[in-house]
Amino acid sequence: MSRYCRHCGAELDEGQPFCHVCGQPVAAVQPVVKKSKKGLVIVVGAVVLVVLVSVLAGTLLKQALANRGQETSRTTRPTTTAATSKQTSQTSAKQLELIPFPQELMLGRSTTVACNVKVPEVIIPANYRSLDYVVYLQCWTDWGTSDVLVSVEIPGFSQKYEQKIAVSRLETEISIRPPLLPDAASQLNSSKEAQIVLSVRDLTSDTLVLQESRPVKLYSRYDMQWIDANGTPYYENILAWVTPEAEEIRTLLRLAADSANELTEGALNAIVGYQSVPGFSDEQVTYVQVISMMHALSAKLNVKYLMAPFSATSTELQRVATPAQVIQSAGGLCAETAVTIASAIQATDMHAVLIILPGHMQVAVETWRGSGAYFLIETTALDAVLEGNFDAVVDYDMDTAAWNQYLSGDGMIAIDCDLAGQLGILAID
Amino acid sequence: MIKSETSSNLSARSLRLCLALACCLVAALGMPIAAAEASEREQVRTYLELARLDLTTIDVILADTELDLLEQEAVDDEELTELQIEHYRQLLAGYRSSLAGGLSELDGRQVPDFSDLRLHRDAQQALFQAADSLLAEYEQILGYTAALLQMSLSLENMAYYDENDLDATYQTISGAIQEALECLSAADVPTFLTYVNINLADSLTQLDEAVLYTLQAAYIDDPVRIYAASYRMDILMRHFDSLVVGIDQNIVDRQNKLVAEAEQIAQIAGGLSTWLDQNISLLASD
Repeated sequence: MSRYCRHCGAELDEGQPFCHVCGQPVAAVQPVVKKSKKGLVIVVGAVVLVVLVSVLAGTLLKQALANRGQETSRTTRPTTTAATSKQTSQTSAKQLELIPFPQELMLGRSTTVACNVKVPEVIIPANYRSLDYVVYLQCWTDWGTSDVLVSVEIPGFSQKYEQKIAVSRLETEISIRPPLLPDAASQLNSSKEAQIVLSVRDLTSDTLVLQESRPVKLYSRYDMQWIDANGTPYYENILAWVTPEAEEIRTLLRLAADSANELTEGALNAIVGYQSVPGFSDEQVTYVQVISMMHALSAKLNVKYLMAPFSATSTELQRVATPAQVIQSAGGLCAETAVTIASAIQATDMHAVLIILPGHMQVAVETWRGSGAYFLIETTALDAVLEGNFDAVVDYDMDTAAWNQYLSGDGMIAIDCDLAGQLGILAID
Repeated sequence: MIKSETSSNLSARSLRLCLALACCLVAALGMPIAAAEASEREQVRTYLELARLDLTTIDVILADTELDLLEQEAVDDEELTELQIEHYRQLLAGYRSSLAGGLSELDGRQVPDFSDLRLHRDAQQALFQAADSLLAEYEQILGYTAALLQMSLSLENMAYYDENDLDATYQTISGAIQEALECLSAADVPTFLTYVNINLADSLTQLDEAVLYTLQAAYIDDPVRIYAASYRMDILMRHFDSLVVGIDQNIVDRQNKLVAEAEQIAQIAGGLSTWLDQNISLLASD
């Protein structure tokens, strides 16, 4: 007897448990064909059971589908009986399985911080405050962002400096110049080797990105390098030795007032700078003050010129005493007496220019503010001033042509003390 | 006996019925799963194919020989003109717009509920963001280059002064320097050139001061100041020289890093493409 699916009407083969067209079970309908009371009861019971199972199946199905969403493509399929497995493989797709995603394709999954560091090879204490950096750091990450803590110290010379910065793949630049320890520079009486201790810690991952010590040579506070190994001149650094605020310069000026009084027999008894004084021309006021400074340095402070070799063309370090030391030690080289007198001139708000010539240094003082005329001071002529040979101390006769001729000589350099501020050079004392 | 026979028959029938019910249950479960899987497969395939399509944006950017992000061509040392800069900026702006569109698509697209696909989506988003960040930096560098060009043009105005009028000369030169400084202060400075920009501005300010000092010396015919001014200019030129060396080094260093980043982007994009292609093939073969 042919059988037909009661759902779709398709002809069914003998023994086929499911309709091959609509998939509905065939067995469930068979009892209806051969129904009996007892059977009906059972069928009714079975229908109730089917309803219950369907509800349960629906719940399970929802759960199964929900789980599939959570479990990914690798979730296992519910097992079926051997009788049904053939049927499900025909009606349902194979389970979706994707190739696992390679983690290494995720940019910024872990952030790595990298750094570039530049440090100077030498530090001149006199110029420390105008130094661009002790550590120049470039920091960046591969892709993500991170907070890093940068720490810089020159043990025994500087304080420990710490700075927290946020870094990203864009390069972050910082220049660090840690503050000096109190009296660190003033205690550097000779040059020494030191270490710049640097560390960079990634605060986000709490890992050390960089920790190293870079050697650095700390010059003595009196060391002057006129020319570096590449032949680049740094004559302007001598301006750090022009110290108009030093106590010893104030002493010199007080004594210079006494000298002026003596030399002018009371006509000029003060150091007044560019201020007119009755009975004196402007140039004479300047001239007398400069002679008085030289006189005080020689006669009252007993400073002697020390005739030691001096070269502004050497790449070697040269020890240059500060004006305070010149006065305390009562002696100085040409460069040292020159910066001492230049300091005294600048302290009175007069205008001094250092004249560097091969193997020697002198000072030019402007005869009056903005006059454009100068006296040339030979600051080594300390004995001549005692002897009253003032012409050997101050050349007051140089006009523009003479100056042009003088300064156009080989190796002549003029360094205006008024430019120290513009050049970022600060006085040692 | 009858009862027992009936019971026995009933039991056998019950057993058959239970089997049938089990089949019914399996069928009831199997059909929606099959339907859901078919739909899910389609969703996954669509997602993979769209994602693959999105990646072509990155491929196009990396393959652009004008941008040459991977530096495959020999580097041309010629300076860029304003027109070229503008052209590159437009090119970059266009690509960044494409990347923004791609990112927006990715954000708005429904990701089939597979953890691997979510990982992929995150990775592709990170890739697009990285590519955009790279292009944004190039755009910023070009912007800064344009500012430097403008600054150079401003400084060229310094040459047009009247040597017989020192005051007018200073006004001309100082005006040109101020214009140049305004260019620098208005520029969007790439982070790796922050200090370069500060030092450049500082040097220009010093130049202004040095020019004033020199002209004042000339005005009062002061030979000592004129010689001091000459040395002052030497110091400034030395400063400019070291600045240029610093800029060159900074640019070379950064350029190398940017090329390395572009290479990493290319590598990731290649990896993503491979993964997508493999999965598309896998789905097609099932």
